Amino acid sequence: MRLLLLLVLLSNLIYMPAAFAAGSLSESIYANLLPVQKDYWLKLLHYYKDTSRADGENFFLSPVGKTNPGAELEATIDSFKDPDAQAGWFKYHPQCVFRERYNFLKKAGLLNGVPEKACPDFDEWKTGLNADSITLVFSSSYPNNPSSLFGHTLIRLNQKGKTNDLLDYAFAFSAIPEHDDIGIVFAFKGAFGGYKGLLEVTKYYTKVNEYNNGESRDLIEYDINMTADELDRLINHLWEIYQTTYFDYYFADENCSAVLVDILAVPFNLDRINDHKRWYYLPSEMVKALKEIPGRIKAEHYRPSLKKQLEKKLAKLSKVELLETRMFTETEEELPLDYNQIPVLDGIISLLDYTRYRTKDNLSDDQKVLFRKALLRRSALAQDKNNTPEIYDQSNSPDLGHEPRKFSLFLRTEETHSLVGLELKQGYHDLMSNDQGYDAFSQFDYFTGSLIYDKKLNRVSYDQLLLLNLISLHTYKFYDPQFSWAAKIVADRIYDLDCDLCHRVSARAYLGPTIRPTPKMAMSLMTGVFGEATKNYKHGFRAGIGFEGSMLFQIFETIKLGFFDELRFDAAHKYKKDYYNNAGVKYSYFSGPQYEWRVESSVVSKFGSFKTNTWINQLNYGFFF
Amino acid sequence: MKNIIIGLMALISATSVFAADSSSGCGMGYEVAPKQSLVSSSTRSLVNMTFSNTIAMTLGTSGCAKHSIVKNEAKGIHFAEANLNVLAIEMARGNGEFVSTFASVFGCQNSSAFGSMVQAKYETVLPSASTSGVELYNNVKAQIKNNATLASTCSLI
Repeated sequence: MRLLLLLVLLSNLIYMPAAFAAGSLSESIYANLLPVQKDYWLKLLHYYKDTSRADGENFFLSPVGKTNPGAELEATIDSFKDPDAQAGWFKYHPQCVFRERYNFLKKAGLLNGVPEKACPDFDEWKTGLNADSITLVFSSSYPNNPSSLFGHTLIRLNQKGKTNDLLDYAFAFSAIPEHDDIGIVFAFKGAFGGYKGLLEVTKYYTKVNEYNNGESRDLIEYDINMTADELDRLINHLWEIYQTTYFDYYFADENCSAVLVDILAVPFNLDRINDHKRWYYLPSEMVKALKEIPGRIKAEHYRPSLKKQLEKKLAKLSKVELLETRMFTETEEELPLDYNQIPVLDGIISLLDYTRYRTKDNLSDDQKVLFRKALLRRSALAQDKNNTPEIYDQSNSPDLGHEPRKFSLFLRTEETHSLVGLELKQGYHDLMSNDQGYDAFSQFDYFTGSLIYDKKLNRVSYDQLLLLNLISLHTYKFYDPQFSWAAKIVADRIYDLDCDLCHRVSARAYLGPTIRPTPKMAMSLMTGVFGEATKNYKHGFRAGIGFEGSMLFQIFETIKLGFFDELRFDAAHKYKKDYYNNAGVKYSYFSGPQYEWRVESSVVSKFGSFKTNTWINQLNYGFFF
Repeated sequence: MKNIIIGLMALISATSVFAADSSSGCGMGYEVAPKQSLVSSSTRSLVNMTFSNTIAMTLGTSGCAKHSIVKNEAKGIHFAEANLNVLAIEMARGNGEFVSTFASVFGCQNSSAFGSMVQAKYETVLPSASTSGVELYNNVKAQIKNNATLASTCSLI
């Protein structure tokens, strides 16, 4: 609390009059600002490395404002003084568009004698928001959808004197895709630009509907401690963005959270919350940054996804009730008009509701009839008076996860060869890493490279150059019958031929079911296609069908064990003879949140034979950063 | 009902002033009708599907509105439109966060009594699976007026 008070006192510094003569509009205005004022001005303009990330022309009053904060300051002051000036999409007076710039410059003594304009639309908006405080909302990933593995964040403005959260307003920064863009175009434009990102203001219930129900994602709500002045500055700034600009959207560093955290950096200008430490920005970084500031987060709440709500409901059914629920939803058995088993009716309703979202509103006619019948029948029975919230496991908070990048050192033997190596992984999480803070048994690795030194050959070589290795072990359930899938693109070593330090380019795409007998265990069997190319192969390439089975165990919180086997048949040539197998066991020990040890052992058969093999053993130490 | 129609028409007229000014009035964000994100356009469409263009424009939730602040008189309609699916379920059970919130948009302090009423009158307030949010809102409002307890305690009807 004391720290907060100190922060409040310090925050007043930004409004201290600068050491220059007010009204003297020369290029030295910006140069004469105090460092803390300059910093605030740059935050208001969303500057990052000498350029503003805002891309809408209306956001700048100077033609060079995107790259020249001094010119923008001067143009802003000029426009505030001009009684006929217009700005923004709706051509309000600039004072009514750039509300936080106006307040900042006024308190800094740079607008002395400038008459203040009435801004009725802004006042109506601000009054309508009726905000008392804010909540940062983190959305978990969208199950089985890799493009959302990082999660999402938005800000909720809590209304004064409210009795529920749903009627609050929410702010989110989202990309606006073209309607007819297919997935690969999404990915390309997301990575390399092409979409515009906009600040969206909407009722919170639309977000709960979208994320909790439509996409079955958990929402974690972090209530933020902030002063009235900070809240005021945030809302003023939101308005000036909302009225003027978009941001070019990039998955990596101008995504939903990167822009949102830059917005929050305006009210929390003295907290270092928007350090963009990497070439990409993760939503969990925003949660971490706020949690690291003592007293900033005062409470946490959890909204389970629709899927988790369904699972909870189904888990409470007796075996007979579950059987009846499935009988009515999966067979042609008609629901009797006088049916009165409330748990079964609730089960049917929840199951069909989830199915409706999962199938994108594509229930069969029979399902629709059953749904309506079950609702009508349920409404004729006792009122549900249970207001006790269900208890869900909330231990897997996103801020607890390891950092996304990893550096590793390893010792390895490959038959009679001894090797040492090092590896740098740009991100993000793999099957054998600590799942704390991540989706259990998930993998999304990208941009990884490793170097090795073979002592026997006295040669240095690369070991692997990985572009992408994605494994989505989505659990197959009767109410959610989706296959897991995997995709990988890599240049790595060849072990199935007698060829020292030889490499190939390899890609695969697999699909198959995963089951989770216990929450600490996953078993998967996938099949799909692969392709390999190298000058070391007789025909220069292989292409065919592959199979992979895996069993993963979380034994203790600090130990993971995994068994893998992959068999590939080269169908392009003599597939009955052209095959090889790679079996392995991996063991991980997490000596700290950012440190892990791994022992890995694998055996790769020679091409066309299970009798001769290459044995590989490795000890690996890595840390995340 | 008549008042609502007139109100809607008035609001449509007001918003169409801005809609006409496509060169300078609406700007980037306002030309994009459905709010969608990169990962899930299809589910977003599903969630937002209950909004007709007319309603969305009227309520300032899409198209060319100066801002998204929902007018008081339209709050309940907007809520019913946006949450039709979940309301249909919670009303059948007579309880839930969305039903409680629905009660509050009518100014009903006793959400349990409200939940009990909408459950008991389920078939009247939601006469078919295709009942719209506006119809639901109006039906519930009429039922509140018919309910002695709620009529005297729900402050916003």
